[in-house]
Amino acid sequence: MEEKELKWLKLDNAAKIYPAARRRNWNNMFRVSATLKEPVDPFLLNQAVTETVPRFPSISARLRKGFFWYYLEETESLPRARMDTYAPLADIRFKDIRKCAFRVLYYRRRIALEIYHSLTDGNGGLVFLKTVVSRYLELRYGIEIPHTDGVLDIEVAAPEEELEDSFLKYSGDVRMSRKEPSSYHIKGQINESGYLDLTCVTLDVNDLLKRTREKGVTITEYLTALFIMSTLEIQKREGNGKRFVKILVPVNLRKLFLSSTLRNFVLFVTPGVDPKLGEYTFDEVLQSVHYQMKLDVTPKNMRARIAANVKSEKYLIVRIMPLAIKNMIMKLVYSLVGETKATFTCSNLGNVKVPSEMEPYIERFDFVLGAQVTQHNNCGVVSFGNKLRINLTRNIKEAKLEYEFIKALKAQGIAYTLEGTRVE
Amino acid sequence: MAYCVHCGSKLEKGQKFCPICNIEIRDPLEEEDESVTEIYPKYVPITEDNVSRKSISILITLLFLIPAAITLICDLSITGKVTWSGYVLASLCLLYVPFVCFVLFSKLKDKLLYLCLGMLVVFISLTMFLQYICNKTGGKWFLPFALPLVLIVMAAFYACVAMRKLLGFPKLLLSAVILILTGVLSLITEILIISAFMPGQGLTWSLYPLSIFVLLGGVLLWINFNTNIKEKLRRKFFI
Repeated sequence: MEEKELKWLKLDNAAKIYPAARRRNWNNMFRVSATLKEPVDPFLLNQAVTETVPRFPSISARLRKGFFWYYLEETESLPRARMDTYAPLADIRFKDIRKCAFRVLYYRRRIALEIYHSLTDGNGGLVFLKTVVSRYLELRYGIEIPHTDGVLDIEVAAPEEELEDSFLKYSGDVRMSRKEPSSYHIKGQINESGYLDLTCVTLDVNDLLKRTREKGVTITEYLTALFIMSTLEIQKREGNGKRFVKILVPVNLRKLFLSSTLRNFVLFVTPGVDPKLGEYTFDEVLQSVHYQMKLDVTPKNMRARIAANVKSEKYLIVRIMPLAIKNMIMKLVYSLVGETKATFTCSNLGNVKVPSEMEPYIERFDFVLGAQVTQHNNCGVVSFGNKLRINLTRNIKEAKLEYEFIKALKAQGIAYTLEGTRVE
Repeated sequence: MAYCVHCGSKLEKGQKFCPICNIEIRDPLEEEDESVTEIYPKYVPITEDNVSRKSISILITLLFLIPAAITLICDLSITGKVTWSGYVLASLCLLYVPFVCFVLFSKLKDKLLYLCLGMLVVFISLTMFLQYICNKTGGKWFLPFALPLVLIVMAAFYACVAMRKLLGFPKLLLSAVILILTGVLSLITEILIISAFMPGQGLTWSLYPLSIFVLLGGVLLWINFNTNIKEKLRRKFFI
């Protein structure tokens, strides 16, 4: 039998750091999930995944080692859908990522995808999830779902532009310095078990939109301001210095550059405030965040920032360095500066739109980020229908940020509901 | 809909504790609905093999290689050729080969196949070991005695496995069969000894184990087919 030639891809510019930055019990993964209205049939889910993955060659891949760089190779062993783990993003080993860099989980009415960040970002993951769920619904209920609103047609092959490394394409000529002051980190006692605690805060989208329109800001800016206020409270209470409080907000560059890539194409901005300058009111923080975002998130600015990132992988000395050495250096760089620039990450995937045929079958979407090495808290936001879900994860025992966040919500008079898990 | 008594947060339906304050909250009016209580499955410890089979095999190989090398070097440096160290090496091989095979085969999902293959390796290496000793000592007992004995034991073993796994014999019945087979084997052993080493002599010792094993096996058989007795014994001797 002739051996099938497997497709392979170079890692995109943003993806290169993740394999090097990994720790024994930490890999940079994220999770997108859809909760349906009826229990999930794992058999049909498997079938849906099997039929969908050929459409996503850059996601149904495994991480492999080259001599100079890691690369992605089409995986031959597709993961079977398995029962969800005890906590989100749990029990992932690098060994598994080298077999297949994403996994499919189900639990009761929920279908979840946990994806290694080198494959794609949250937006790419969401497109994959929507396509898997739409195929599952077609198989389960015999309905016909049009290929709109991010549901892709699995009958056609993936076009080139979905597989491109848009960073290279949209990199500018001028590089912008990446220097910025390091920021405050929330400290705490690490969960020995290594599992993440999850707290999901649900808000009403219409109520929130009313408030943000009044202030002339976006939901992301509003939430970021709330998180900055919460962190300022923690910093004040614990009295450990007055370092910058900055939140890392990923920016979906597809909207800025009209790219349709399904690989990583995000950059981040870090709006924040300097507590040394005095006490802040919520409105001050909100305005500051709003203008910082406006200033930073422009195509010109982003091009220059992409250029700085792309340049660092283009140096000949970097390119010809064997992977093992490159890994060590990248790990060192990551440990020294990788997570120092922001207090934690608040990633907003925005409002999920699905074709109207799918809508009656879906109850909610969730987006969960794992904790990082020194950033113990993280936050993924996604809204669907009238509900906005803020999934706060942490790998420390104390629910400081969560507590201050709901206090901040209460201070603004925003109604919320809570649910979550607590690791024993 | 419940509220946390500490922070006042409204909790989602089915949420039984406040995720922030970690206080148990019960809404007495909310009906117990299992389908909404847990948002993640219960904790199941994952058992993973941190050490790969390959590295275990390499370690065992090294452990065996050390005494083998030492004996060989001693023997060669003293006598100049392989004399007594041959026995040591052959015995080490006899231990080593099945050991490594059991480790390597352990990834077989089918436990029955695993056992059968592993034991086959044991029997083959035992036969080769016996042949080597026989040749080395210049004996003539391999073909008339050792080989038939090993083959018969092997046949008995696989017969027992087949009875248990394929025919589904209950444990009691199988024990009876094993006892009777052991008795018969002792008889066969003596017959083989006589024919190989002292032709013309009559049976002497094997009748004692034969009678005892067959008697015990017979009792077990009787118990097995007598449900009444079996039940009574089970009542008396359950653990």
